[in-house]
Amino acid sequence: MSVQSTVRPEWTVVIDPVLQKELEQHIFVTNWPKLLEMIDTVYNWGRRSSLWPLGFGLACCAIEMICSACSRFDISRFGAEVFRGSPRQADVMIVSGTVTKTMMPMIARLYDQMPEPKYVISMGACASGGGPFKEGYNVVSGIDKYLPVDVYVPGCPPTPQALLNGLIALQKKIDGESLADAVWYKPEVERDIPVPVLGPDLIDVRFLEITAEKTAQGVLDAIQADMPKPLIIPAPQPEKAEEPAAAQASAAAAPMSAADKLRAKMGGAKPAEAPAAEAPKPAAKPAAPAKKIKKAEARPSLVWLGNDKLKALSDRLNGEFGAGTSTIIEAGLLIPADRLLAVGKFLRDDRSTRYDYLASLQSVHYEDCIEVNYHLDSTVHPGTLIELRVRTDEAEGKGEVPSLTDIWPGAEFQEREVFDMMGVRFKGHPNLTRILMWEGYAYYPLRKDFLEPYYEGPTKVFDSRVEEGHGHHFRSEELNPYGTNLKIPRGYEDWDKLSSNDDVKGKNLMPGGVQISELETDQFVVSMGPQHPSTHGVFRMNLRVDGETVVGLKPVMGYMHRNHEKIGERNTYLMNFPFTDRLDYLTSMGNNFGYALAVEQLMGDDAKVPERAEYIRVIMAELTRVASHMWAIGFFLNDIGAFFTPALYAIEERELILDLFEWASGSRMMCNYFRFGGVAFDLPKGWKERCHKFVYDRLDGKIDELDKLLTGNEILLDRCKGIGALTAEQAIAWSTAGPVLRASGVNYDIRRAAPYSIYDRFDFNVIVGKNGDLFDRYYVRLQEMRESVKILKQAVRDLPEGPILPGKKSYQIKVPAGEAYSRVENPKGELGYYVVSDGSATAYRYHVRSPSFINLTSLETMCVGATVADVVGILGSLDIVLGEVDR
Amino acid sequence: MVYNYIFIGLLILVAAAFAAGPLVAVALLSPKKRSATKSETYECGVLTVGDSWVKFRMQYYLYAILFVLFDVETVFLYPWAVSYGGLGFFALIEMIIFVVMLLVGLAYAWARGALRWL
Amino acid sequence: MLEIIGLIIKISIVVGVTQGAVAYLILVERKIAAFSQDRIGPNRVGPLGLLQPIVDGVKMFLKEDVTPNYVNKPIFILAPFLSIVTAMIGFAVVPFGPVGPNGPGLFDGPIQFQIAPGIDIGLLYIFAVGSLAVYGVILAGYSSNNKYSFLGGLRSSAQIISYEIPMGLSVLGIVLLASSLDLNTIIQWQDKNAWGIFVQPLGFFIFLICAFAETNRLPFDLPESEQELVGGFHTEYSSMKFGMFFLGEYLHVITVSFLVVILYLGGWDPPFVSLGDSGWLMAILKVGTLITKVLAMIVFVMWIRWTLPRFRYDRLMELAWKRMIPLAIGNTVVTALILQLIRR
Repeated sequence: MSVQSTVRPEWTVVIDPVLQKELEQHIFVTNWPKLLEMIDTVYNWGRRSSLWPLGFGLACCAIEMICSACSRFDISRFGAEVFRGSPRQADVMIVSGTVTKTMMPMIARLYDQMPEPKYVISMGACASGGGPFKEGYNVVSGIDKYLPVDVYVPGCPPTPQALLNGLIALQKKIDGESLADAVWYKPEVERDIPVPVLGPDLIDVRFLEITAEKTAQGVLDAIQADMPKPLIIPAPQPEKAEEPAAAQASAAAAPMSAADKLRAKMGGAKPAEAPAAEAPKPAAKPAAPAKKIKKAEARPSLVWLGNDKLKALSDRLNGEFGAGTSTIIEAGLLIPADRLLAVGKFLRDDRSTRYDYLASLQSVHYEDCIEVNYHLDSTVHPGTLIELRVRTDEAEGKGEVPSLTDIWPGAEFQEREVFDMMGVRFKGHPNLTRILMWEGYAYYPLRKDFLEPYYEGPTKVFDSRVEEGHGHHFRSEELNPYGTNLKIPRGYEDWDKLSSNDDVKGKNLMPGGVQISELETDQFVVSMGPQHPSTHGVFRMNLRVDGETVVGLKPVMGYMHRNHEKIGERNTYLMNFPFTDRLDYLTSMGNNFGYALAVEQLMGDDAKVPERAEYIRVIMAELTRVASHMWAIGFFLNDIGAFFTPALYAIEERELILDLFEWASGSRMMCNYFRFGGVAFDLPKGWKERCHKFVYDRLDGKIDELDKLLTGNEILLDRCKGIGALTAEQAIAWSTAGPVLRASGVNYDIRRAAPYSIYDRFDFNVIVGKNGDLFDRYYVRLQEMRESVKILKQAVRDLPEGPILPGKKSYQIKVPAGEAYSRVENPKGELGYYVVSDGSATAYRYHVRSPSFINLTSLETMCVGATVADVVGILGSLDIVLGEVDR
Repeated sequence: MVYNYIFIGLLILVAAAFAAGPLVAVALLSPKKRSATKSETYECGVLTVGDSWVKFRMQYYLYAILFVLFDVETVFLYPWAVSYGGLGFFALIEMIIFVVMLLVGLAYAWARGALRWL
Repeated sequence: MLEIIGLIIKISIVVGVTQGAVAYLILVERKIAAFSQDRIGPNRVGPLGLLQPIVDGVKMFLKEDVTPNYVNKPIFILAPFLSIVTAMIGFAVVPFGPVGPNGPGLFDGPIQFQIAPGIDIGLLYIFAVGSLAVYGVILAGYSSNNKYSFLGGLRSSAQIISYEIPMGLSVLGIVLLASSLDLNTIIQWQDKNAWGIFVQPLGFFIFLICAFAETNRLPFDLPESEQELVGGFHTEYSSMKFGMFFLGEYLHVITVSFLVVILYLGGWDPPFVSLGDSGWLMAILKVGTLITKVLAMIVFVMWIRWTLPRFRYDRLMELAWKRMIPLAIGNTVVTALILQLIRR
């Protein structure tokens, strides 16, 4: 090592070489580099062993990040358990999960606000490169597009061990650093990341000019113009005329033949000709049907009113409001928009119908219209589900439908979602703004004619990913002229109006307030979230507070919107299973269940689930419920201030359940275990015994322990009793579901109200609360775990031998055309999947009725008048998971 | 006696030195990379809206006023408690009257809703 | 002169030991957290993670100290400084061992295990100084110009002043019994008669609860309350300034634990045995007893933190004004009455 230049003068004095050697042997510091080395050692040692992470989690990975703190993994051994809520006190930012465009400005700002030296761990496939959600229109293709990443942790999600490994890797990296080249001591190095702007899309201000230039050229539009487009089918018509079904089927089928070739490709068969770039605009082109599309039985859901009663109801409506009020289409009632309000009011209030519960609301983009449809059920006569349809203008931004928020307030967020995704306006809606995307986003993404920036074809797997097609793989970035996930309409010109100081998502949702004390005091608006220790992810609430009292609250969401539905329309049916895992990432088995039921409803007898598989499904679903409720209770306690201890105890039990999942399915969190007509694998040998032991010998005791330690706690009672109460009427009106609904005293559990699978065979009680306050929600969950254990005991005992799939394992799923809505009682509430099939390999429309999202509709009502501390508790009692809220 | 207060003064000096030390050390040692975004107010990753320094709720001031009242009264009780051993029965009566006055004040504040948190 | 030098040595020892103790208390806290959550806790730096506090300290010193633009800068810097100083000066009158003419001799007089042994209004002094602690917090909250900090600062000020009153009232009982405000006299009284906890159980509980509230510990940690206010009053603080709030908080815990032990748990009086008055051995035993009790008290405070949920703000204030104050006054009156009756 040549150190001559840095040797201090007094050390350059020529001394006896023997003495010099002696000195070097026995004295540590003989020259500058050595001194520096020593300082570096201390400097690095200090920083490496005290890495305090910024406490924020984005998506699924955040759950594993939290688990890394639990007793099994214990990140505290490395001195890194001190998750700081404020970036000012954090050393490392663990980007845990999908980075969305909506969230990116916040992440950049938080990163900038962290003091030097700071590090970034990119946790999981999504944070590293977009992961499974990469082609989503609201997903950033990796955090490293913006932030300098120090360590990438692979996995989807990485297990806690993997994160610990990442932490150790970061420690090693820090060990190799030296003060001499530490960038944070160099004033000339720019470490700040400019905050990107939410304009027509997420715009990186560093490349503003080139972006503007390319937009003006319209390069992306030109490329996408040549791509095969997804088909747009006409809306189903009433079966009045002779053979109209056939005519309609032919209309639907006509383009199918061309599309089939295209879609066949995903199966591996390569069609000779080029992909149907000339794919006809599926407009009325009454070509002879190539083959008849198989049609599924028309029914809105498995348990519903029934054809005869629906006919009677329809006739009654026609009698009441004049002919033409109600037309039966595919077992749903088509109502003209102008009579919708009257019909809705009638259906809700009439004694014989009492459709007081709006289960789900969604929209479908057809060739000739946009259909908004409503699934209604009655809590008085459960299981009498019907579907209403309203149709409106198809043209972008033209559609308008009356808002039903006055009849079913629970429609509020769902209507906003339809507006956001389809551009349908709802007349009379109190606050019709975009809910998941931001105001100013250029497109209505769920319209069939919207192609994502990374669009390559109507069905995955895209050509670019298949090696044979091109000779090598393409990265999506290479196919987009911007080089990133970006799409801006050609005419966009307001470039100079873009400002990163513009809070486009939140500024329209500033709560107004009322003066509550006679003395005039100032109220202020404070934003809780998106990065906040107790918003359960990247949820945000704009609070207006007067002192400690909340006088106004507006939830702001969409920070985790990762385009589940749009991606679901490109996925083949089977391919979509792993995506459902990532909806509510605490309950992947339950999500699988719902999705499987929806498609099985379309497939009918082709997917008849064998006995053994039914039992396995129920066992998995109930284990999921226990795991999810454990988590919910633990973190609810955390929210009301019990510092992590109950949460970590709850996680311990959850870990044991995840072990069972991992053993059966191969993955602890994202199980991807269900298949149409059964489950993916049979239970491994010994699984049943272990589950038996767990269920019979351990769970009851642990639930009792939680009950004993928590339920009687004075402070807990004080914090929970009477807070955030919803009356039964309110709970129904707001379309709340699951434990939230039942805590308010409504006996409505999908497992009993609209039984699916084999739940009718088990003996269990539906737990119902009384007051609908925080305590009841907590206690209902606790009791539900006991009931789940009851079911589990029966199911494990009775688990029969036999096949687990109706036929052979199949990768090509034929799904007949039609629509289906499946409902399962997920731990969070009613999880519904609405699937429209056109007979092709992918779903034509795929919508998720997510309980977390809809339960949030009532948040504002519950919180106004409460205190800041209550807001956190109320949110915790709703038990939301952001992956499902924003999808 | 006064001597002892000098001790306290010394302690304050030493404590101040101990407290100032880290501040100075950090000012000398730590990196300084200021930037516009870093200097913004933190509010969960979004920009803050409106001023934080506002006319705040009355309740806090009410409590402050009540505090001053009660604290002074508490201080009056200390000398009484110290010398209670040497005082007669009358001292007890006097104290009870005094305390009752205190309690009446509290009851008044309670009844008027000054202790209620809106 | 010699005395002054001795005193400065004494002060330095006290300040140094407490500062060091505080650093290690943070590790103890993390270990207790780990223990109560069935985990291991820091164990990678040094044996059993014993060097963890040093590592954290090194890091904090070398971390960038961010002062946001919108803060009130002088106050922003003053606040952490104040929080340490005010927490520190309470120690002046706290005896950490026997005090009196019989202490073990060194140089020309007996050693006094107290910085300012001659102050006979010790208790009053402690309360006076204790009230100052609120300044660090409220100034931090105010100067940060951050809404979370602001809320945290206001909460804290109202909380601390509210609990000041029942705390002051609750010790009147023991003062009545010992007829003195001098902490040494109170210990001696307990040594001769019975521990405060036995003769003043209600006073003890009120004092204990107030002690938790005064130190902002769970279940009363509302000024910080991570789940609501992110970091509360110290949200905007980074680097060592943030560390100083931490230190201040733990210093406060130490002071308060000393007070609980001295006022109600017999101070340096060990249970069941009676220690003699003079000699080095006895002095060391007494210091040991006191420190052990204080440590046990601190562990108890931490244990509570990892066990209980947090009060809501309005309930906290109600607890102080509507429950504790009447109870504390009642306690005083009843004590005085009983004393009067016994005297008859």
